[in-house]
Amino acid sequence: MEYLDGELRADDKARLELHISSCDVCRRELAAQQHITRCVQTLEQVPAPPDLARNVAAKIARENSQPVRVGRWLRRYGAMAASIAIVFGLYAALNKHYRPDATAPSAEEDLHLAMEEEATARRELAKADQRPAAEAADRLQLDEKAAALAGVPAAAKAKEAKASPAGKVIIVPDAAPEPASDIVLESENVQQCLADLQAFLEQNGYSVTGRVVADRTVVVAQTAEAPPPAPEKDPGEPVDIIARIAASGKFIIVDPHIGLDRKSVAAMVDAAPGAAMTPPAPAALAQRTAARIGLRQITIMIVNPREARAMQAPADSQKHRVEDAERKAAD
Amino acid sequence: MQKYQDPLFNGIYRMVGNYQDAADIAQEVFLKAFRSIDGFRGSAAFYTWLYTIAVNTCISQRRSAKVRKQHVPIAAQGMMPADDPPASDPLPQDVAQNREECARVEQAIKALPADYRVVVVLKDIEGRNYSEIAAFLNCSLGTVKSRLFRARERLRESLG
Repeated sequence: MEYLDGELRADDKARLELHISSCDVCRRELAAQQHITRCVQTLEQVPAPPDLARNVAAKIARENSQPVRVGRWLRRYGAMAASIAIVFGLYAALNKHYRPDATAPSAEEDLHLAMEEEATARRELAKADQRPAAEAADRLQLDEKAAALAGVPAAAKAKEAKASPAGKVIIVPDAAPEPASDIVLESENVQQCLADLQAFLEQNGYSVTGRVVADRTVVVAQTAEAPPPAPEKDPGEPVDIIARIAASGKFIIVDPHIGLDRKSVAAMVDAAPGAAMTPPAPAALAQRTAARIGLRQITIMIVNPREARAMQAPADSQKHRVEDAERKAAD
Repeated sequence: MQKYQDPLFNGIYRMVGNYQDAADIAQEVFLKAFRSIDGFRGSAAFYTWLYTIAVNTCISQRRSAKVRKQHVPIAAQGMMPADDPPASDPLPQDVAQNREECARVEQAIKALPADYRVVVVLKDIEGRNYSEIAAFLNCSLGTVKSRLFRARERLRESLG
């Protein structure tokens, strides 16, 4: 049977073939076995029902159109929501000399463009056969999120991800008006990345508060632009991550398809007055949108969804986890 | 989806031996894949990942079908299940004989115990090697070989 299935070692195969050539019984047996196998192999392919794709699409649409219970969603997935790489103020921050284009398209047009971008990204996802190995992909996730944060277009993102060694985070906003606006963060871990980010923003007149709240991929940084007027309402000290997001008042959610469907993200945005949402988008689009809504406050979150639950845990155990995470990172 | 649906459906149909069940399972497989696309890490080919979902869904469907079987309402027992794919156009005479042979093989495969049928489909229709089959079914290489051997013996008996 192993001979028939091509699973025999070369030397065994040669020995068997020698035997078969001189043994009628075995030759007949082999022929009978081959006949059975051939019969099965030559069965016609039964095509899928013609309405299969339509039924699947309808079912997905039905699932997506079910009302989202925000409260329950926030309780269950609130922390995961933080896994969405947020915010675009980084653009406003990094490109301080940006002047909104008088002929810039409307918010609806922006959203439409952005949705097209998302569709392209999803098509690329469908070509997932070409993806790198799991481990590399895992490491590159951070790079991709960083790229999304910086608004690097999908193609550039892919190129960057391929070029970047594992563990290296590079944020290079394209179409930056001045070379000084470029930011390149290279680090072996997120703590270092946060420190670099903080240093960069402080050098450019921003105040940053940041903390690492879970292992490997969690960064929360809040900045307030120094010279412009302060926000009307001080967000104070938020009790949890969702409150922090809501209190930020104005933000744009980038990359809504990290573990969440668009509907859920939209519900979250609805819950925060003044917020807007866009899928991963080119820097120019990000700049226009950020300028239009007058974004001043920056919230950056890169969260590992697996650790997201830890963010809702009591402070003590959370502190414990942070220490563990730091220990692991140090190791 | 267009690219994968026919080969995937064919595999599912051969494993469950019932057209309608296969259609339901195929739909479920694509929905599961859609929901868990984030879980696909690229460590395997996309089709293999999809096929793993299909094999697992077929196995769990078989388990639940065993339970359902004990509770079939009397009224439903007289209903004939839609076992076969919809009939296509009449075939020319010279192809008809081949079709008849195929029908016999199909019946023989359907008559196999489910555990045997799955390995025959994975080996002879999907062209997987022993190691891959063992991984799909989460069993040992020895189990794969013995099931395949017995399955072929039964097919040989059925097809005379």
